[in-house]
Amino acid sequence: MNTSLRPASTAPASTAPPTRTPASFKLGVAVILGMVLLALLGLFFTDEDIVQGSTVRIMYVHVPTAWVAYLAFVVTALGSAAYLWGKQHSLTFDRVAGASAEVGVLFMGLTLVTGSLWGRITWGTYWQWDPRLTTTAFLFVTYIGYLAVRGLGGTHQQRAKRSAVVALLAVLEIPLVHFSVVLWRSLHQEASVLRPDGDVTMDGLMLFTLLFGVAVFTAAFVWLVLHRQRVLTMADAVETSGLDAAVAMRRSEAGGTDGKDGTDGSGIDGSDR
Amino acid sequence: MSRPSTYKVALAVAAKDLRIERRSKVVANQILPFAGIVMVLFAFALDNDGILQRVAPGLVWLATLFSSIIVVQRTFAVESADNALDALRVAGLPPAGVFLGKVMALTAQLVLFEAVLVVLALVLYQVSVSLGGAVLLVTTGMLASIGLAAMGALYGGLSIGGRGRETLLPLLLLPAVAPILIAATRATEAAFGSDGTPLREGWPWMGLLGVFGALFLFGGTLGFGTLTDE
Amino acid sequence: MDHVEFIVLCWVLTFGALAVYARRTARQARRLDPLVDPKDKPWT
Repeated sequence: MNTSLRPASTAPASTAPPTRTPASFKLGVAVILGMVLLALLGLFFTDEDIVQGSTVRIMYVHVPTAWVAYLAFVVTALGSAAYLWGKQHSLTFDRVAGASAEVGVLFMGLTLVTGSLWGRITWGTYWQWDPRLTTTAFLFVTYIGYLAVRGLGGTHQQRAKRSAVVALLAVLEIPLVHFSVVLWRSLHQEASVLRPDGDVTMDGLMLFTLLFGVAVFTAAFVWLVLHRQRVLTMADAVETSGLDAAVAMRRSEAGGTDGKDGTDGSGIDGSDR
Repeated sequence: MSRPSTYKVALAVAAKDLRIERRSKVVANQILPFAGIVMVLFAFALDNDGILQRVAPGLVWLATLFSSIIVVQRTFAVESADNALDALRVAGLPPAGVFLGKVMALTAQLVLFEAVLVVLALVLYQVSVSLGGAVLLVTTGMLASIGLAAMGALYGGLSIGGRGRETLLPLLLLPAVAPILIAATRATEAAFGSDGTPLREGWPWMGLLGVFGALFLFGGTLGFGTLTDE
Repeated sequence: MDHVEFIVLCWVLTFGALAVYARRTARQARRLDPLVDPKDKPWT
């Protein structure tokens, strides 16, 4: 008897992406248009900075990715709290937390890379042990740990519980780490010249471009998390129905027909969730 | 039958763990020598008596951190051997009690551990410590151990059960205890007088260690049960 | 524009990484979709 996952519907597969809705499609279009406009603004229409020269153009992507990375961290924490303390322990919150963490790792990595490249030009080094950079690196590693915990297996509720606690522990840890590094680096009396963002005074079009970048990247974050969270929902559903099929197979082995008449003999249709 | 109090459970778990260690002597006979070798290897790698003396505080605490991973794994390995942790849960024991018991046992073992490593540093790295420095060292060791034990008990509980989980412990634990490393090392520098650091500069770091320990004792008491719910 | 290589690298990496991630998510969705019961997809 074939107990592998059967297609759940016999309708022809639609050509549109399965996680798309009219609203998310509009959002996606807005994101892409926004990105194009951002590139035009950031790379061509704005002038160079008086102090930083052309390297300010890196800021137009670096600052938004940093902002989104921290936003993702907050969303994961909120989703975890909503899961743990919500009356229904809805797995949707867990999946939002997980999707946000994945997207967050992506943005965090980009922040570190673009920041490092910016630093290479500005300070001559790829890395500085200042609090903000160091904390970002810690956040990155902590996320990776969180994603590893999500992959530990078990039931979906177990996964949700475990990773929610880990995420909330991270909320406690990260400020502590940041504070410790601030105290630590204050011992070395860092020159205030070397601030990670270069302390740019911006006005007019430059400031608008920066803020516009933050807005576009935030929209991109929402869009990516939306789709990823839907994929996670589908993956969880597939896992659950696969489990039901295995249970049904086990029951039919225990007693009943051998399935030659097309049923598994257990009287269970394997479709309860 | 009434539910045993968290406090009694904690004491019982701690006593059991320490009894197991006293009989098996795994920490003393295996993990401590490991830390000793780490201290020696530092000398091979750094190859400079002056540098060794200056960075001795950092080396002591690095060796402690790396060894604490193994100590935590050991303390939970004794549970998973016969699924003892599950048995404790099924028996209805409050998980907060199990957590606190683990923390107590870990703290005791870590404090003794650190004492040995400090003595090794005095010998191998030619640092010296005054009476005031010794008081600072003892305080640092106790506070840092509580924080380390709390984090270790939390993440250690998560990392038992096989299926490739043990490798998760270092990844989760080490970033989380970075504040302990920073604070304990700075305090130990003051205690040893490394680089001319005055003794009084070490004491403020006790605040950070204290906050860390308190925070994660509290967080662990709340979260251990949910975290290890299988 | 000086340092143009660095700037281009940053922008290409950023947009490229986002595009790759979006494509990957879409591919996962397409792979999973036939196996999923439509009532498990509350957004449709």
